[in-house]
Parts: sequence; structure tokens; C-alpha cells
Amino acid sequence: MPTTSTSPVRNYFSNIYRAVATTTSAFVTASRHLFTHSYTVQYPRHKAELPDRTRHRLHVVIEDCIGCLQCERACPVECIKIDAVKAPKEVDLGQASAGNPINFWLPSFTIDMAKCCYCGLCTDPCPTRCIVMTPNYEYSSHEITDHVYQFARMTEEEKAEMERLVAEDAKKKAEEKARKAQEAAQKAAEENSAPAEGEAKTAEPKAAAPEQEAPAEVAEEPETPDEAGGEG
Amino acid sequence: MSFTGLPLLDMCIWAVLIIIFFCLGALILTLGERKISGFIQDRLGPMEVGRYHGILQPIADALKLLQKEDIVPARANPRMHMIAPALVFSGALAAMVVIPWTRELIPADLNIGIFYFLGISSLGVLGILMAGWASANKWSIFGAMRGASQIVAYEIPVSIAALSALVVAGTLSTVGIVDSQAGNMFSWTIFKAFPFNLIGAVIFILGTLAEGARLPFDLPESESELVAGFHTEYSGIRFAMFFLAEYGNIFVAGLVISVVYLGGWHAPFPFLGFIPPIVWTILKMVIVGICIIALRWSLPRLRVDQLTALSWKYLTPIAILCLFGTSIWVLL
Repeated sequence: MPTTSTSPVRNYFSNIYRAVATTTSAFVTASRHLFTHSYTVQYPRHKAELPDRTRHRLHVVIEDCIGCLQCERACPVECIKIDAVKAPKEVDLGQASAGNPINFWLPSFTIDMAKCCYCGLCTDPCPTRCIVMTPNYEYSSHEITDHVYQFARMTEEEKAEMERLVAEDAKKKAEEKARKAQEAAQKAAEENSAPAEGEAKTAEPKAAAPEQEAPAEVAEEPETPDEAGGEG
Repeated sequence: MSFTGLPLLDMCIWAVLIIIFFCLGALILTLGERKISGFIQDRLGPMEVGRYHGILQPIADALKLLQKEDIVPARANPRMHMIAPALVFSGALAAMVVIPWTRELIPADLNIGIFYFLGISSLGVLGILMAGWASANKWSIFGAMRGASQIVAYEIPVSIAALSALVVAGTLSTVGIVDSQAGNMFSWTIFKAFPFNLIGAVIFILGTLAEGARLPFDLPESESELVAGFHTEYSGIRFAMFFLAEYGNIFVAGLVISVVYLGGWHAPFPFLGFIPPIVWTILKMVIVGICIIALRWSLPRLRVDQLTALSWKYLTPIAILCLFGTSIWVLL
């Protein structure tokens, strides 16, 4: 016990005084709490009201997701895994409720809540505010894999359709690419060979001619509205 | 008190009754401690078992402890290891023999009642030493040594403080002590030879707490340093016996304090005499018990040197002074 006096006799009695005083005050403080109300919340029966911005389980409004992958990039623990497939231009996937056009199919959008650290960083960059933290904290389970939540809602048929469209688009693009490459090669060949050789000039344009019509048609299409507008 | 007139049969009946009283008291006290501890810390304590505020929690605890495996460590001395809890338990139990619930309801009104109580309550030291030694564990032996030194140290102030109460009562018999306190509450021992017996009562309470290894004097089993002290290696029913003995000690301490200092079965005022005497005994015991539990949460655990210094340097001399003061008061 810390003492200020130097005399052992005074020490002795001040020790007794301190012991009695501190014990009494501690006892009174402890006894007073016998009659104060308890702070315990009897959890399963009574639930504490959570603050407005409580961060618990993540939820994704998948209809509004535009597949921009910003949440996936923002996540510090990599618990968000998004599989986004770019839709071809011809396919219309509609709009998010915020007005943003949707250009991606989402065959898979998983969040592993077992990894989630509840930082909320994924909710901030989302342009459509479709990834949100809900106040739901009651989702414990016996299997850790139960904590991987799949938010994508594409059916198998939709996925098959998507694959078909993607494959078609890829095929179309590949053809276009091949044709463009050929065209470029032809052009180059023309430029190179024009002044020098006359024979090659007559042979190659024949093969390229039927293909050359297609891009012309495509190129014409956008022009028609302008023409119509000009006439009107 | 005699039930049948046959001394041997009476003894058996009393033995069974004492065990039932003791275990019941200790069980109720475990719940009481958990609830009061909870309230002091602004919690609720056990709330689930028994539907209403956890009233069946002690039964659930007891059943759980009885189901556990009774483990004897490989290097332990099995016989001593098994006897030790029984010895501690019976030491606490045997103190019940001289405690009067009412004038008639007392197992044996010995003419050396308090002397017997002081003697038998230190039987526990033997059990604690045996438990610590037989466990072949460093924590256990540390706890046992501490327990032994502590109980030996606190025997002395407790005995001297009790002596000053006995000087006033003029008898060692527990019934005689209570009879000497008849009248209103100011004829209780605690208010006689004021303030010597009041100080004596405080010393007596502190001493019985220390002897029962109760917080803030729970050095023999200080969890933070010694895991669980002398009962580290115990499990199942043998641990339950130590546990019951610990709470039984509080129960007995409450009873002895109410008998020696608080007038036993007497009502605090004569006009309250219509309430049966046994209610007063139990009420006083409950109040002392609540104070002992509340004291647990007001004080931190003492260090070993503080513990012995408190006994030898402070309590013993003060108890001796109180004895002198009371003796002079009685002589005058």
C-alpha cells in the first residue's frame, strides 16, 4: 500500500484507515449495482435494435447489376467472384433501375460471407447501388460452404442461349476479322504490286469481289436514316 | 434434539438431515452467487434452466458434474487423491453439528460448541494438503501450501475474535450463546462491549472467508496464477465435492456468524416475535451470505505477503486488543 508518512506507527494506522475506507467504498459501490437495471439482452427472444447503417450480410439486387466488377476489385479479401459475359451488340439486356444500360450477362455472382470482413468497401463504388449491406446477422450454418451465396439467377436454358449467342457473335466477329485481315492484305498487295505486276491484279480482285459487297451493305445501313432525314 | 429416543437412530436421522441441509444450502448458494454476481455486474446471471430466472440451474450443474469422468492422474497417489475431497467435504459438513437452527432444532448441543466448530473447520487443511500433494502437480502443490499457510494464519485471529464474543456470552455452547443474546437487537453480541465485538465480528467474518479460501482470499485456487490450485487435477464427482464444500463453508460461516454475533433465532425486536425462530436464523444467514458474495466483487485478490501481513500484523493484534477491551468491559 502506498504511504506518504515515514513513521512506522503512522504507517500502520494509515494502512488500517485506508483498508477500511477503500473496502467500504468498494462494498457500497458493488452493493449499489445490485439494484440497477441489467444491460443483458436475452438474445433469441429479444433482439437489440441495430443502428441504421449496421453492416452485416451482403445482398445484391441482381436485376440492377451491370457487371462492372468494381465491387470485386474493391474487396480487400476477394470474397466476391463475378462471372460477367459481354453481350453482343444486337442483344438488348435492358437497363438498371438507375438508368445504366446493362451490357453483360451474369451467369455467376457469388459472395463468400465466410471470408467477408464487413468493411463495406464494395458498396461504395457500385454505380447502381445494387450491392448493399443488410442488417441480417442470423445466418450461421453447419457447413462453411453454405456461406457462399449465389446471387445470379440465370437458368440453364438462359445460359445455353447466352452461350449460343456468344458463340454466334464470336463466329461473326472472327469472320469479320478474317475478312478485314484479307482486305488489308489485299490492299497492301495492291499497293505493292500495282506499279510492278499486272497479272496478279486481275486474278485476286475476282476472289475478293463477293465478300466486298457485304461491308458495303452494312456501311450503307446507318446512312439510310440520314438520307431519310434529309429527304424529310 | 431427539426424534425417537434411541440415540443411535437419532444420530443417523441427523446425519441424513445435515447432509440434505448442507447440500441444499450449498446448491442454493451457487445459484445465489451467480445471480448476485450478475446483478453486481449489471448482468442477469443464469436465466434459462427451470423456465423462471434459472432456478433449476444448480441441479443442472450438479447433474453435469456427476456425469463427468472421474479422472485420477497416472502419477498421482490414487488413494490419497480419492480421500482428499471427502475429507474437505466432511470437514465443512461436520461444522453443521453444533449449529442451532432454533433452540430445539440442533443436532448436538455440545458444551464446547464453538471450540468444536473452530477445530473441525480446520480439518479442511488436511484435505487440501492431501489433494495438492497427491495430485503430483506443481500448481496443486503450490495451491495446497498456500492454503495451509493461510488457514493456519487465520485460525488465530478468528479464535481470538470468537473468544471475545464468548467472554460476553460466558459459555462455549452455541445454544447458550444465542440464549445470552435474548431481548431486542441491541443485546446481540455484535452490539455488546461496543465497539470491541463489532470489530471482532469483522475480524471473524474476514477470518472465516480466508479459512474457506473465499474471495478475496482465494489464493489456494487463484485461477490466474495456479489454474485451479489444489483441485486442478480433479474432475467429476470429486471436483463437485470440493465445490460443494466451498459453498457449504459460506453457508456454515453465515450460520455461525448469525448465531455468535447476530442473535441466532431471536427476532431483532420483541414485537416481531410472532415470526417463527427458524425464519430469523435463515434470514440472518441469507443476509450474511449476500454480504459475503458482494464482498467478492468489491475487492481484488490479495497477494501472498499482503494476506499473511493482514493476518499477523493487523487482525491478530487488533483481535487481542478487542479481547482485552471486552474482558475489561465484562469485569466492570
